[in-house]
Amino acid sequence: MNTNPDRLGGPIAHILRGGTLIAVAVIAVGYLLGLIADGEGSGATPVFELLRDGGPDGLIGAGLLVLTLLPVAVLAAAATGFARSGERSGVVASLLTLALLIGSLATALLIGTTT
Amino acid sequence: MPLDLLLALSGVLAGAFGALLGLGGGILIVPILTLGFGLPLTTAVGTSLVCVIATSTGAAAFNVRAGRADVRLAISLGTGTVVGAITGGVIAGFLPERVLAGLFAALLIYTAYTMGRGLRRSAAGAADLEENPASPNGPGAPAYRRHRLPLAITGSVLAGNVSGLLGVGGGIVTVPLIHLVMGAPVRIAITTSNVMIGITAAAGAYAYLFRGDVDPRIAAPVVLGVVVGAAIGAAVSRRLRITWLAGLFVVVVLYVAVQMGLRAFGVT
Repeated sequence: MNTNPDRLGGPIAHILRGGTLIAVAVIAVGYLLGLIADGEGSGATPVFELLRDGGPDGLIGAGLLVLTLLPVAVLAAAATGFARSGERSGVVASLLTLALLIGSLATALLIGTTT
Repeated sequence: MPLDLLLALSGVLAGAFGALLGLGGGILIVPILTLGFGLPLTTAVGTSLVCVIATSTGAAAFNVRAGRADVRLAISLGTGTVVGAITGGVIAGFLPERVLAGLFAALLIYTAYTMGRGLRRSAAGAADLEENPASPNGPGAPAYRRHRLPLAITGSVLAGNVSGLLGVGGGIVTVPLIHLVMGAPVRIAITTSNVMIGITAAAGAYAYLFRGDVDPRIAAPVVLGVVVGAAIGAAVSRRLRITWLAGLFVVVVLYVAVQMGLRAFGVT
């Protein structure tokens, strides 16, 4: 049962670091473009409308979406790492949590697109 | 621009604070955005949840890479907190908030007392808050022995529940849970909680993001500040004495207990 933690922690650390950097970079570019444009901004708006309308707020929305999807990617990587290590309880725990997060995402998506 | 700068500085403060203590920083961000910037509560909570994820990913990227967080434990307990956060939203419709706030305040006071007693024992040399070299998790993993995992998973459901019901960060419950129930050193409890809070917050954040309760021009400077603050907090925490970190955590727990107590008595 004792496995090399790098099999699990290594890929998760890469996802967290790379994903955070990408999200922050996209948010920063959108934010700076918004400052240069000096516009009012779209205010509190559903993220899909931000993406559809594009512009600085669309970029910020895309960055926020990437950021909030990182936990999903972390759980997928954890499930893969546990499976490779043969840790069934870890696979079950990460897949269960992943299913709950995807369920939460799907529900939010459904409500967000129908209202 | 000055407003944006203030928002970014608030983010830096919340991110550093969260990364240092294993919290999401929501207990700072929500009051700052509502009281300081006049945002509606739903927008403040939505922005705060995104920031909790930013604190988590920013700090966890450092801690997981350095092998300072127990990822296995974070995933195991994360299942409980996510289940708790989702059911908390359902239960919220049936239970009086003031009763829950009172129970939560009592729980926090007990937690502060127990952690404070541990600090006094540590100062007297009777107990050690630092890492135990015996590790069940293989080479390079956080070095300590886990105790009472089933009880901790049950407790994590309660932590998620409290988080979903009262809108507070799960870290305020999970750090004491990992330290006091599982016997993990405070530093590992903090770094592991940092991994967990992002997963817990994501369960709630999607609803706010897709419903349109996050203002991109407000969220952007706060999130950017939070990521910088979380990186600073994660780097600085290694150099701080563990008794200082635990003492600061006890102070924060007492502060939240007072807030919850006031809410229970209908003062706020």
